[in-house]
Amino acid sequence: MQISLIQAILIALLGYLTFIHTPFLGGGLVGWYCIGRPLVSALFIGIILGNIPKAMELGLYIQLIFIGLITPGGSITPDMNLATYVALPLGVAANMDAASTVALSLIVANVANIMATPNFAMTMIPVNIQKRMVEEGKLEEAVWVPIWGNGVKFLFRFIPTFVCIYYGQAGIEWIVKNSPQWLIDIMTIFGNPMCLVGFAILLKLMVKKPTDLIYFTFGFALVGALGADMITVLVFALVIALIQFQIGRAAKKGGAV
Amino acid sequence: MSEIKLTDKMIKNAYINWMCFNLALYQPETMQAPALVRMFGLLREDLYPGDKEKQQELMARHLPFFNTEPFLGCIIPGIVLGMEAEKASGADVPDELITAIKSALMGPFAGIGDALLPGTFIPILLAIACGLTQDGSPIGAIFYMVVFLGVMIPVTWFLFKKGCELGANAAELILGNDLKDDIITALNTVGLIVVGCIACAYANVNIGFKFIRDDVVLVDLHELLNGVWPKLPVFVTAMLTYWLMAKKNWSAMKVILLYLVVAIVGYFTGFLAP
Repeated sequence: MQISLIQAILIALLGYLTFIHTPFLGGGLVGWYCIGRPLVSALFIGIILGNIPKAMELGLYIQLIFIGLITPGGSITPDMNLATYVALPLGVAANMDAASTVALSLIVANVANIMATPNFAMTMIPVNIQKRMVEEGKLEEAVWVPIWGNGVKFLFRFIPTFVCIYYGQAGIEWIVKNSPQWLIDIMTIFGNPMCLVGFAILLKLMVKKPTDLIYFTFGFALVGALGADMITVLVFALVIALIQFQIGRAAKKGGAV
Repeated sequence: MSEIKLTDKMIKNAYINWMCFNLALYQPETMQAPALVRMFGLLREDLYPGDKEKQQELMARHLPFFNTEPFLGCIIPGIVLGMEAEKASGADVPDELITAIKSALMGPFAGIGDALLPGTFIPILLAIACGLTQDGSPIGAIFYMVVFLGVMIPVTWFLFKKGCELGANAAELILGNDLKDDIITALNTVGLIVVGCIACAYANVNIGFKFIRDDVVLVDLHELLNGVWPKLPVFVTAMLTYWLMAKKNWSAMKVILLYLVVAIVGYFTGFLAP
């Protein structure tokens, strides 16, 4: 399918609205941390492109890679936002498989990092203007700076996203059509375990002591060996967490467990 | 100077503007400060009616560097708003105290906030949402939106409001409370089990190695390993990836490049199958 001009504009606009620094879609809570998650973005991109199932299928795998993404202040992290809003629409349009879409999103996420520093540098302009306004007593004007000043971020989001999806679709389609089977196979082998990288980032955070890995193994075994579904796993997890919580409370009260 | 009472309307105004604009002009120099300037700028007439000089001082106080995890850390702007209202009412609140409270709290809340929100709550919720996403169904995405916003909007509003009411005591209530450690530990356990579950459900490692003689498959390594324990190759890869990243401090990029090399070698030797 072809991504139309309107669709490309809408997707690029949504990409900007769900960027970490955009205030206009309810700020980071509604934008970045909710609609901006690849799994949720996929639903909206699917609606815009008229193909929700395909978008969800690809969004799921992009989400798994970035599931442990943390963006601590000031550090430059892989650009999940651009990766989602470029790789996902292109993947849907060119009917790519999950592994290739994930590979594309990884390339975008890391190449897009080059924009982070110029973005920060240009943001200094409105910040300095706001500072000067406060010092000169132009208080009402200073209040409005974060609104128009965010235009800097708009430039660094909307334009690259739009250009990549609108002008990149022909190239991606050509690549998909002309890829030899061996390349597709390698991409599949490469993409198959890729989400484990995302999970390792999470494990690194969550595993406080080596025995914690047993919980991971437990969840793994529930699905692998017993074929449990998500809800069942969650019920088991909550039971164990509750017992652990109660033991922790009892120990702190100094009473017998 | 008359008593300035923070009304619900004022608190709500400050809360919404903080929640939306905290990162709007984010940059490495003053980070989230421009959002505080806006937040107080909008309330300047309420805090210092008609006193332009005081209003200017108020906004200038918040020009310097401020940075924390903006959502669970929203308690800090709340606390600062409470202090500014006291100051505006004539109480003796030195400027240095406001700056000191901000500086003292932003570090701990950045740590707790990042560990709890994008480090624990969001990945767990996403892991569950991913587990619910099957055959292109949007149910997982809808589940995530409803639960995430349903939890986070009341929680952040509560923190912000508590900050306004209790001032600096609110921070102590949260930082000094040992209940949160037990909650984090319990949440962590849920997270670990759920991540184990989706790792098994979504990651694949297909071993292509087969030992064939006279058209009869004598050894199918893939079948063999999965017979020992279902999805054993995935489990081993997961542990190896974790070991490289956590114990050997490999970056994600380095691990991904290793995957690529292994995929290419694995394909051409026939050891790995798509």
